[in-house]
Amino acid sequence: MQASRARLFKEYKEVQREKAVDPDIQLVCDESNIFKWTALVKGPSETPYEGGVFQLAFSVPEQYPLQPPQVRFLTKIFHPNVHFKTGEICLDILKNAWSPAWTLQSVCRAIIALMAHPEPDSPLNCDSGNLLRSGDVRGYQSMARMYTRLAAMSKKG
Amino acid sequence: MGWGHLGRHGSDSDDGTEAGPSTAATEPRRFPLAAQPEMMRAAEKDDQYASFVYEACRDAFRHLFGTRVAVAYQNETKLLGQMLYYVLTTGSGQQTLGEEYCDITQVAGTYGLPPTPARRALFIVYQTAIPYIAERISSRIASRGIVLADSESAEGFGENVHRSHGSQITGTGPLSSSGQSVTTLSRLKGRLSAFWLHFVQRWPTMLPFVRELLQLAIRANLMLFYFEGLYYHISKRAAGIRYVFIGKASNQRPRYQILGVFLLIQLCIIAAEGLRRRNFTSIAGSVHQASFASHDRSAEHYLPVLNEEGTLATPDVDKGSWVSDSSSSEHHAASGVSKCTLCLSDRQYPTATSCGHVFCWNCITEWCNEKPECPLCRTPITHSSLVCVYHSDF
Ligand SMILES: [Zn+2]
Ligand SMILES: [Zn+2]
Repeated sequence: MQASRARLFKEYKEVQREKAVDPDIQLVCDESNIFKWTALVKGPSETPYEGGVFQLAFSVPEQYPLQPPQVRFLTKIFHPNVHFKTGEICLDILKNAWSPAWTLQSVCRAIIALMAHPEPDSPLNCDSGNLLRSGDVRGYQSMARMYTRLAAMSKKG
Repeated sequence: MGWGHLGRHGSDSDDGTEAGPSTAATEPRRFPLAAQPEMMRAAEKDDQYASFVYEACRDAFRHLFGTRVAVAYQNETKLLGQMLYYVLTTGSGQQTLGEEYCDITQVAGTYGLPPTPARRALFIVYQTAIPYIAERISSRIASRGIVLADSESAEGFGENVHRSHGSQITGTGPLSSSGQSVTTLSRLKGRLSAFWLHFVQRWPTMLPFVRELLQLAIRANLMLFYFEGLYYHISKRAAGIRYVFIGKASNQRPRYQILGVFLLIQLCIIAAEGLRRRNFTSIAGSVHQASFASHDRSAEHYLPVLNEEGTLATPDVDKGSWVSDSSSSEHHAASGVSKCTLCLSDRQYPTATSCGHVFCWNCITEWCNEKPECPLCRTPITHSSLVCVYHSDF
C-alpha cells in the first residue's frame, strides 16, 4: 500500500517532467485518488486512428507495481484488441506478461503501439478481428476511421 | 468492585478505581475477571473467524461481480465481513466464537452487567468502521496533498490541468471572506481554510509520523492491558467493555505484568529518544526517505531522475531506451545515485539478479514472490540466486 503510493508519486513527478517531451500522451492523476488516473493519447499517424484523441482510464491496484494497472478505453474505438462496449484492452503486458518495470507512461506507449499494430489473432472485438483476418484491411481501416471521427474527434469541433 | 476479591488474580487497582460499597452483599455471586491469556486467545480466535467471514464475502463478491470489482472494493468487503461477524455475535447480545471458546463474556458498567445494545453498537463501530473511515480520509487527504504540492511546483505544461483543482481549493478562502463583511469571523474562516490547506499539503509527509504515533498508542494500550488486565483492544477500552470468566475456576492463570514492564521500558526509551531529537520537521523529512538524507533531499527538489539509466549494467534495455534519452537531457542524469526501476527511488540494499540487473532487495524479492523472472529482461530467476551487493558502492 505504502510502496504503491510512493511509486505512484514518483511516477506522478516523472510525468510532470516528461510532459513536454512526449506530446502524444497526457497522463493525469485523479485529484482525490492517486490510484485513479486518466490519459489522453493521440492516435498514431498513418493509422485509421490518426487525428483522434483517445481517453484511457487507469485503475491502479494497491499491490502495484507487483500487479498491473487496469486500463480501458473510455473513448469508443474500433480495434481488434479492444472491447467495443467496455473498452477493455487485450494486451499481454497488462495481463500475464506484466513486469513492474513498466510505468503508467510506458503502458500508454504500449497501447499506442497496439493501436498501430493490431493483433487480430486474439480479438476482443470480433468484427474488427474478422475483417483483418479475412484480409479486408480496407474495410477495417474505413470502419476504424469512421469511429475515430465519430468518437475521438468530435470533442475538438 | 466486589469481584476483585473473589477472583484472586483480580488486581488491586480494580478495587481502587471502582470501589462500589453497595455491592458488598452480592459479592459471592460475581464472576471473576477474565485473565489476560483468555482475553488474548479469544481475540485471536475472533480475528481468525472474522477473517473467515471476510474471505467468504470476498469470494461471494468475486463470483457475483468478477475479480476486478472484488479487488476494487477489497477494503469495503473487509469492513463488511468484520461488521457481519461482530453484529451477528456481539451485536445480537451473544458471545463471539472466541469468547465462547475461552469461557468469557462481556460486561460493562460499575455493576458488571452485560453491555447495553447501545454500548455494543458503539464497540462494533469502534472496532470496524472507525479504522476504515480513518484510513479512507487519510488516503484522500494524502493524495489531495500530493496533487496540491505538485500543482504548486509544476511549471508550464502542468498548469492547465492542475490549476483547476488548485484554484478550486484555494478559492474557498477569498470567497468566504469577501462574501461576508470583514468581520473577525470571516477572517477566522479564512485563516482556518488556509490552515486546512497547509494541513492538507503537509499530510503526505506527516502520514508516516502519524502512523508511528498510532503504533505507540496501540502499544501503550497493550502495556496497560498487561498491567491491569482489563481492555485488550482500544475499541473495547473506548466502549468500556470488560470480560468476566464464567467457566469452571481452575488453576492459577499467569499474569503478564512482566511483559507490561518491558513494554513500559520500551515506550520510555522511545519517548526519551523522541524528546532528544525534538526536531519534528527533520523527523517528518527523514521518514520520507530512510536512506541517505543528503542525496534524497536534493533529489526531491529537482524531480527524480527516472528509470532504466539507474541500472547501469544493462546492455539490453530495449523497452527503456526511449526513456533514457529524454531523461539524460536534463540535470545530471546519472549522478552517482542510482535508481531502482521498480520503486523508482534510490536503490536500498542493491541486489543483483543472475542476469546482472540490479534492484532494491525488497523490490526484487517481492516481485520474485509474484513471478520468478527478471522485471527487465525476463530471465528466470530464483530467490536463492539473488545476491545482495553489500561490498560494492553502487
Ligand atoms: Zn526499489
Ligand atoms: Zn535481467
